[in-house]
Amino acid sequence: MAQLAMTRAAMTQPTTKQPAMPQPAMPQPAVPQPTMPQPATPQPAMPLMTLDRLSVPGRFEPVSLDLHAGELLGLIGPNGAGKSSLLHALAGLLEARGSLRLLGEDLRAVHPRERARILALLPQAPQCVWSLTVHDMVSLGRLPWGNTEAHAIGEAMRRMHVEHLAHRLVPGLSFGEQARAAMARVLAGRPRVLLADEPAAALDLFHQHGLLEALREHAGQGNAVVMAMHDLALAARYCHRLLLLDRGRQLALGTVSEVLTEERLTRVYGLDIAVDLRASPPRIEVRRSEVMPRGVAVP
Amino acid sequence: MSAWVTPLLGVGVALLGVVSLATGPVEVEVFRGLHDWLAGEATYAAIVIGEIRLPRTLLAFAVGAALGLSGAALQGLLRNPLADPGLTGASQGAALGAATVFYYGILPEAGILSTTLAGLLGAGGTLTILLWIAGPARASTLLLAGLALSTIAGALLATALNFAPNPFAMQELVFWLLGSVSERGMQHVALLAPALALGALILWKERSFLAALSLGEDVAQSLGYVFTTHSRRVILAAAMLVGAAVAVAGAIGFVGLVVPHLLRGWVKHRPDRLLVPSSLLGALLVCLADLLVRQIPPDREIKLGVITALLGSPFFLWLVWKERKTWHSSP
Repeated sequence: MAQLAMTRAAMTQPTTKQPAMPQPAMPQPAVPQPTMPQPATPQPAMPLMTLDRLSVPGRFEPVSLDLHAGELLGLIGPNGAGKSSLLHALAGLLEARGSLRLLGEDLRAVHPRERARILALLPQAPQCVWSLTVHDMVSLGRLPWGNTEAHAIGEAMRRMHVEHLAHRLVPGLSFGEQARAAMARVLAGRPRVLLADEPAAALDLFHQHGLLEALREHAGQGNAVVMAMHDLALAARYCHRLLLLDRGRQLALGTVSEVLTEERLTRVYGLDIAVDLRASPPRIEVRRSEVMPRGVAVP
Repeated sequence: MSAWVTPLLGVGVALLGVVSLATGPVEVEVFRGLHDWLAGEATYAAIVIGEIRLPRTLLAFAVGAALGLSGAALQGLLRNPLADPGLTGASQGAALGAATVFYYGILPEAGILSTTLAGLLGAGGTLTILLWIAGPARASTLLLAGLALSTIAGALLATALNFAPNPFAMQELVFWLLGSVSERGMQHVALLAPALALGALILWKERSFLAALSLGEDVAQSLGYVFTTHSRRVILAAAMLVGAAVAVAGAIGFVGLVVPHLLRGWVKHRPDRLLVPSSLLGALLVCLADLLVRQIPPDREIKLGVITALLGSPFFLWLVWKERKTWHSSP
């Protein structure tokens, strides 16, 4: 609990301050001259999250990894690979086997309110049942803290470019605007670990890059982001590490260049895929659209 | 504007309270009567105000507040603007409890309170079975169980009506079911008050959970609310409020359904901010309906539940018509 208390103290500081934990090497700013993210180098002693043979029967087989501060981890894989289930298990919403530690503590032993201050989840299709204003919806991200800190809410709305929509009703917005408002809700809680399921799927090019830049900035402030993605080129451009899942199995975990090999992607997706990670931005294209034999036995 | 809704409704309730105390077949000075009654003086005004009109007014307020509050809470919990407090089964349970009193004449030592006590027992019994059957189920399952229990209680009620010992008992039962706050005393208020206070307290503490639910069950869980625990608390409180209201005043429909609708736009659709105004508007509407009841000569008295249904149902239909495009179906 002492570690949790420490973390909470750290979280109440303005997020613009750099936390004490060492940072992994950060990628260069993407928009002017996008480059490959560098492999995460020497890691801090205590990971934010530790998964040890975490599994959910029927959804995904054991996954083991450490999630470090400053890291943007991409979950990739075809439909039904278990990406969303893994995110839900990480959020404590799915009963899972194996061990899952949050700041060194068993997730199940962490009080739900405490957990909510550290961990936030953005589901794949964010709902807003009532006609709330964007501002009111974003404020809900502060519920775990029991306050409506105007600075946190304003900063989150600014980062997601929804400030001008503050007084509009959420159900009246376009899908992309709703997705940005939903992400602002998550950022308003300033979580140490941000879990997002396809956060960029509904967005136009400008806002896709804006959102991923914001997530990278969030990670750079001593937090970690785990997001499920289908766009491999975007994943290659923004993520520090990738976890490739297929039919519930962990196929590869590592840096972008370790995970995104032509042979592996061709087998997993069943398409002839060309990968050029040295290009700027990285290019991942389908060479031929005929279906190739799919297989999971990839080294 | 949303900041003014609660104070305005509060003023409205206070004013209507005075009007309600001043309304009746005989002219009395309201404030003198209240003063005398509080001072313990047995003047004519004190008896009319303190023994007849004050309990009736307070009961109308309390019943309306309980119905409006439970309606707002349940609609927030189910994220469905069509949810009705009767869905918990508590109101039919209360009606069944009261019916057994008419039928078997049990609890004779409780006097005029026997119906109310039996109603509370009926509501409590239904609620216990509901929570026991549903186990750790999600809200939708819990309400299906409530609906099933409500149907069973309704069937038993119909059986009681079918085998009524004499026409008089049946008439009594039917009139009671139609709902009324007349011919009741401060004892009835005292029976309803604890349920109202406890239910309101629970719902007040759960208001942030209702707000979190706007974003769906998964997000509410990720925001730190254990869904089954919190949803059970809300259902418990709502059923307690409805059960107690029905036990005291019979079935008064549409208040719990319509009141949250009327207010939603004024509180920017926030389920947490809907609770207090809904209880105030519920109180206001039931008291207004009771004032209408009192305008009709007592020999052909129209029951309170009949008035609320007559006025409430067309209004509800109009709301459905008006808002049919803006509603969002719950998952």
